[in-house]
Amino acid sequence: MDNESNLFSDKLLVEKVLSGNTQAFAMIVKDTERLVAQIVRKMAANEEDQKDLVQDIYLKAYQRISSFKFQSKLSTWIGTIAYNTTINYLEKKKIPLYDIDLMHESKFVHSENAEKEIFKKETVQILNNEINKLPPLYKTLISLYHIEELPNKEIADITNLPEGTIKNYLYRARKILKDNIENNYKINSYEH
Amino acid sequence: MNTNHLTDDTIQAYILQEISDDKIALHISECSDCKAKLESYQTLINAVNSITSETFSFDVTAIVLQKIEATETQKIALGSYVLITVLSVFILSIILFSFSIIKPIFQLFWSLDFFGNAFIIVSALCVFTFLFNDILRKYKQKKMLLLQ
Repeated sequence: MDNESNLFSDKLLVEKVLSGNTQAFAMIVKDTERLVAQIVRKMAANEEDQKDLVQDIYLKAYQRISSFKFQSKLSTWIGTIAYNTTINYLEKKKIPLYDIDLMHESKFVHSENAEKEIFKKETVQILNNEINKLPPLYKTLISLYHIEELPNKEIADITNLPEGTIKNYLYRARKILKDNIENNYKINSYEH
Repeated sequence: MNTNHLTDDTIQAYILQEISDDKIALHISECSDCKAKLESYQTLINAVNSITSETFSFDVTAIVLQKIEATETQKIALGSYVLITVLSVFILSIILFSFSIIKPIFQLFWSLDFFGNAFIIVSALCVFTFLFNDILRKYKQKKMLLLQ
């Protein structure tokens, strides 16, 4: 039922955009910008690059909307465009998608007061910092799965990766996160 | 004591209910190492789930619509240049190829009286004005739709 109403509203919006109504496209942008932010912000740190990427992503979506076949949700389709555009950006910048060395470079910002630090910093901030140290693909998958709460199937549609690969990457990403937090803060629990 | 510990992947899959096996539950209840690991992962997953999603620090809709408008205007301008070029080439080629028949056409007009010539010219002007206004009206309508 929910899928049907999604499909109906997607069809309505697409028809309006195709008839030249740019306000309908603005609604699509509003509906999907959270998902696009999870992908773009995790892969591009620079705000100017983020702006360029966002404009590029939605311009592509606007120009190709007539080719949207309603085989997935409109948001998933835009997510795919966002993912592919951002991957191209990383390739142009020669930033590796899942290079573990990236993570090691920023690892172990050890201080003697590491245990005290954890009480000073917010748990979420620490976690966000550690997530940001992950390779681009891993942090994007973590965001899509845990923060955006998308099912593996939808993440597979967006990234064009098999579901099994996504599960494995997520297992690996969580292990890196757990090990890093345990090593950096020398404690096992990071609850409030 | 069971020394075959569960892998990290199995523990995560168990927490996320991707697998459910009594043997895993039994092992966790007996093995303190795996139990500690499971608790660590459970805490981590709960903490990551509690993070609120990030948004952009700029107005996405505004910059996207700005970009679309700029691209569409560019496209219209490019279309106009192409149209003007094609029309110019068309008119020039008509003039070029009609040199041989220009004289008989003029002779046709010379043979008509003043009213005959005036009728032809006024009719042609009326048709031209009607078509030009129609094209202009449609163009303005499309432009309004784009800027809505």
